[in-house]
Amino acid sequence: MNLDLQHSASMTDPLTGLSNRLGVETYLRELPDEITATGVSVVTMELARFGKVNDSLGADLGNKIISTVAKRIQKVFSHADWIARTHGDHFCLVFTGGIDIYEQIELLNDFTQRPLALRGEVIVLSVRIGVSEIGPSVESTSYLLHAAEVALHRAKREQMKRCFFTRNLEHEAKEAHQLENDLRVSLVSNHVELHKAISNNEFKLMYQPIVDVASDTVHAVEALVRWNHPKRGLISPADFIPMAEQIQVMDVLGNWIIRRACSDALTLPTNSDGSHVGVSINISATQFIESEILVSTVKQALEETNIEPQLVKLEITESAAFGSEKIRTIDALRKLGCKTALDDFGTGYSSLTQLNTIPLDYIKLDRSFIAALGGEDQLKDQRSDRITRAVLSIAQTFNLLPVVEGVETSTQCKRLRDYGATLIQGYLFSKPLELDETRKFIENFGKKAQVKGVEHA
Amino acid sequence: MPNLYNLAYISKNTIKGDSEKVREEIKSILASAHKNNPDMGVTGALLYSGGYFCQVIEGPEDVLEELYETIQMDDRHGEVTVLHFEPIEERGFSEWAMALAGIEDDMRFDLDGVLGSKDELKMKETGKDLVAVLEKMVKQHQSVLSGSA
Ligand SMILES: Cc1cc2nc3c(=O)[nH]c(=O)nc-3n(C[C@H](O)[C@H](O)[C@H](O)COP(=O)(O)O)c2cc1C
Repeated sequence: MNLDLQHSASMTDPLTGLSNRLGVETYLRELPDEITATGVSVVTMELARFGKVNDSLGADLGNKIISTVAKRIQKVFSHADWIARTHGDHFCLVFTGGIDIYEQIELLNDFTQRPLALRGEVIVLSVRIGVSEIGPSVESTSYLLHAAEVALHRAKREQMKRCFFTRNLEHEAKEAHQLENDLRVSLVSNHVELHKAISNNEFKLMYQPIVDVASDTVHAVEALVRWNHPKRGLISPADFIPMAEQIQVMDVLGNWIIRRACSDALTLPTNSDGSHVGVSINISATQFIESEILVSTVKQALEETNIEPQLVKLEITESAAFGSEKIRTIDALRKLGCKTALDDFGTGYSSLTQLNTIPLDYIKLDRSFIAALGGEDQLKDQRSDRITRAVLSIAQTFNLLPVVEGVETSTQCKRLRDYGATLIQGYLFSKPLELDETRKFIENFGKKAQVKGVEHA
Repeated sequence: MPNLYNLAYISKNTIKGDSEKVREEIKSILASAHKNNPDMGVTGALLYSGGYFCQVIEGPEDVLEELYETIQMDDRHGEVTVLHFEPIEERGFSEWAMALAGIEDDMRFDLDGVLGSKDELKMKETGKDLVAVLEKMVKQHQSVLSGSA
């Protein structure tokens, strides 16, 4: 190994003492031709369930896991030419010369998946691996890390244990990798950069109305973050939130969303019956890790804007693990006066025990339930109908207000209403709107309701 | 003593060679343990049973973390399954840096469904069984030794 590089502080990962991303990038870029000619392979590895472990057992144990895995890799791969922790739970190894890469993958799989015994916990991780090799598909060493990460990304998406980079992946490569790099550039991990991105208006909130069909009012609007990329236009959160979580900028972004949504909500007109329109805000699982920051941000946003707390509805995703720590946090948020909603109900764990233990006001039925409702396919319609009714009766039993997402047709809406669900969100009423369009929507909705009222009479 | 833990695991023997060779290696493992464990405040017991190692180590939590990392990397065994890692009130093997509970040809634990299993309860139960059995065996062994002395 090149000791000068390996020992430079800016290229060292402080947690593990391994080289960081910059270190391996520099090493690969500066690799002499005569070594490159003997063959170069880059193996990237990610700990597959790490996010969940980190979330449920805490960041301190998370760090301990990372450093223990790093030590194992160092011990087993003393013959590797370079070892780095590229970010979060991602590691990277470089091999040169004629080496059996399959053997290396086997070793890596074996040693990283052996049980860990840390802080009185037994943890078994699984890993995913992406590989790239110098050759026809990758001609330059500076492209190798990127290519291996693209392969890893693919492995992750397709639930494979490992994936080799090929030319076909190249196109995807550009897309996915570029996005992640851009996000990094936009956010890095510090507030200054994020504030810059925010003041450049790169992030913005759009709002999708949640209509109450019983009272013909707008019950609330769900705040949806979009990244307004200077070159690529609007990017949906599904594409960048996971990355934001991975590079640990989600709390900064999440806090901005909370404050912005609360202050935007104050500018919304009231319904025609005088009731106020609430605002629904998605809270990411990673925001729960720094639970004190989350609670204090919400508290501050409420104080700054003076918004009535019960108008603020915090949406928590069901699939995240609910430990007692998390339940305490949700309790604290509710003590501030906010309402809480369980998002995507029915897609993840859907544990009824959870409904008993998590302090909640709403559950949001996942769109997949009602997608086939009232559709052409009778069998699918029946199935969809059955499960919708079952979930709605669960909501009723647990005294929770159901919100149904993804409603697109009036048949669906009528059916849901017959079953007692009156809070409806979806394209039938509106797609997500810019703030000023949202205001117009609320005003017009009131007027329309009045006209309809006259018609009904 | 605060911060006292025990860790129990089962692993598969990968020592190549006949039973004599296996005995030799076990001797060398015990020699390492007798040399290193007292300084670390570690006690425990080791059983070789039907091609598997069963070991309990007890001591301060951070020391066990590190010792476990060393042991699990040892290429004389593989397929390590940790049955439990838990706080304890007192040691079960306080007089032994590493007691040899025995070397036997037949596996005495029901390992089906435990090795590679994700069933935590079952693993914990087997872990407790293992500790109990080892304690009993070590005591028997001890009385045999003192009886013959
Ligand atoms: C089944 C098994 C159990 C072991 N138990 C211990 C132990 O309790 N203490 C220990 O120091 N080494 C133990 N070892 C050996 C370690 O893996 C390692 O070889 C040893 O600590 C090296 O130290 P030494 O060079 O001082 O002998 C064990 C190995 C195996 C295969």
